[in-house]
Amino acid sequence: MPPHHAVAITGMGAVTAQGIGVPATWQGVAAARDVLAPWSEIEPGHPLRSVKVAACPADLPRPADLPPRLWNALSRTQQLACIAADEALAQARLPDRLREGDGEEIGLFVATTVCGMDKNERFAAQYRENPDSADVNLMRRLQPYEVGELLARRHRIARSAALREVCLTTCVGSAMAIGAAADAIALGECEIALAGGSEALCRVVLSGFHSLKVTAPDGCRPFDAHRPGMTVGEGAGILVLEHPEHARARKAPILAYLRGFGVTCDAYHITAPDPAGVQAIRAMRDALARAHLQPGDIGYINAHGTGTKDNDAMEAGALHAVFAESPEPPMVSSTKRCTGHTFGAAGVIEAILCLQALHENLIPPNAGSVEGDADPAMRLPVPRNHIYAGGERSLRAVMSTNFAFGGNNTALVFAREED
Amino acid sequence: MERLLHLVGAGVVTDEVAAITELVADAPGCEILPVENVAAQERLAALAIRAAHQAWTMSHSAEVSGEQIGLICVSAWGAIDATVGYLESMFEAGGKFASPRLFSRSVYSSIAAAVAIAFGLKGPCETLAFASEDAVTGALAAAWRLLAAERAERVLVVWAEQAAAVAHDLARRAATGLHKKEYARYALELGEGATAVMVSRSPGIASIRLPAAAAGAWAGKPFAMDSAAAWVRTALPKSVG
Repeated sequence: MPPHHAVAITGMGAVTAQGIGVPATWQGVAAARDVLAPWSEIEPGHPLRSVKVAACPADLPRPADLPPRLWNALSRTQQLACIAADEALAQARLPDRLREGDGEEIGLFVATTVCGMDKNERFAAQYRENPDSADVNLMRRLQPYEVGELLARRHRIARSAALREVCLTTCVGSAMAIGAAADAIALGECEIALAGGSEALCRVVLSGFHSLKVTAPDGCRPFDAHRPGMTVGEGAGILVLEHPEHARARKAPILAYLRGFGVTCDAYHITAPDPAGVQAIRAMRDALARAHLQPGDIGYINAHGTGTKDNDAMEAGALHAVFAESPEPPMVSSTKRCTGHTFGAAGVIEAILCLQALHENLIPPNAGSVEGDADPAMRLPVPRNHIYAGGERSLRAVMSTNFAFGGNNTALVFAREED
Repeated sequence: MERLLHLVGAGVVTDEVAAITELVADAPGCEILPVENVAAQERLAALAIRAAHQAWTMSHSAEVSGEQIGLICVSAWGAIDATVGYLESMFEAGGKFASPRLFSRSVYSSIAAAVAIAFGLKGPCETLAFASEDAVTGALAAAWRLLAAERAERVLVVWAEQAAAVAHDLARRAATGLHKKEYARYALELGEGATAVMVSRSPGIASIRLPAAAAGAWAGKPFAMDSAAAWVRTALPKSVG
């Protein structure tokens, strides 16, 4: 039996294509609000202009403590992370600048994939034209650890290198970051940790997935039999994780508990998942075992559901293997039609949507799918509209799954109760 | 908080050290993987696999289930030749289909994927980034966490970096507008190579106490791999036979 340590969630913050803040994100996702549009940064007539994306508001609100010159020098990935962190800290009733150093260490575990690529690709374009006149300031956010450094300096946390990680494991990055933060708390390394991820839209990613021929011009339709591909998005999410006793001692609001985290690798292919989903199944089962829960205890699963043929087929089969025998199989939905695929931020944004589902007893819809056109591999219920889960079917525990390039698999289990 | 790790294998491939056997007199079972065996890999992945192979064979890790072995990969630049190649193909394509192969190889975690596939590692496989001076402490702390949380019996930690003309030029250009302290970091000569260690919950050839053991490993070296290579020299005994 793997170790079981519940960790309290005391704050969360998000910026997504649905809006700034968790309430705006949740309301948009629950209502399946369509926000997809061509990316305004792509010039008219360019082939990528025909591909809809999920973009956050172009003008992001600058936090008061960051002067305009510094704010404008940051990568958009860093800006998104700052806004999400501020909301999470406020909800957790923690000061903006935490007081680490009185014997209390605060961890920081964040994820990204593109880092400062939004600026770097502009440098690359200039460099290509004339290396000597390229603006070197655009290169200053090149290295990915800078996403963590900014948050650590700004909030005066994670001074120890052992508690400051930037995870680059693409689409599972922020789920891994949340898992690492929870392990650090459970193992006594720290009492509080910030964990999440941030990802800005950039040409490299949009063009890259376009070159892989997996982008859906009019938006993704996860788990649909005729799904056309994925939707690229941007966003950020941050959770405040805390030892339950620490949270209770300072009378912090406990939103829910992270009960279990499972993580595995297929070791199968550099981009494609193992179609048999063997390690994806193992990740889900490990998360359940660590949570001391049975498959039947899970009422809702926020699936990775990218809308690509390979991912959704593998995931549908893996979910069926783990949950189909449950007396009341859980509802499954992917929310990527509403948020886009935010890669390094996907795990945390979808974890936040799971926490909101748990709090509101409301299962968000699998937006984009067409009635009667579900993939035959998906044999669990996939709602097209949001569903209230009150009464006897009230949600007690939920799961979020994520899968990534390289065959990386994660599953997070959240519950209302600590045990 | 002190954390204890057990080192059961190591490997190094750098400009200065061709294999771990140059640092440790008698490493039983340690095999040097011929370069031609990784010829199909990207340059950075090949370096990582060659260093990892030494740690793998030295620690007899083939006897352990792949599901019980985790992986942590650290790189400051990632596969920069693939990244630059992809950018070039993107600009050339003008919005049509660029190179899908270079795109997937340009992703930081592609090195971890190549290593995981090469050795059949099915435990947690993480790609992490740290400031250079934190790369050893940070990666070993992450490995300790996976072991202590019972997510793996062993963890292979790999630091890898490749030299590329464009990286040198970018580093020089980036350094020109930087603060003096930052300039020192970028202006140093970029190294190329990989360092790998296999750490375990069970006792091995050396013990590592974190964070003290890895602190100060940076020693002015510019990137994670150099820092790790410098640290491995101090962490290993002279003989393990």
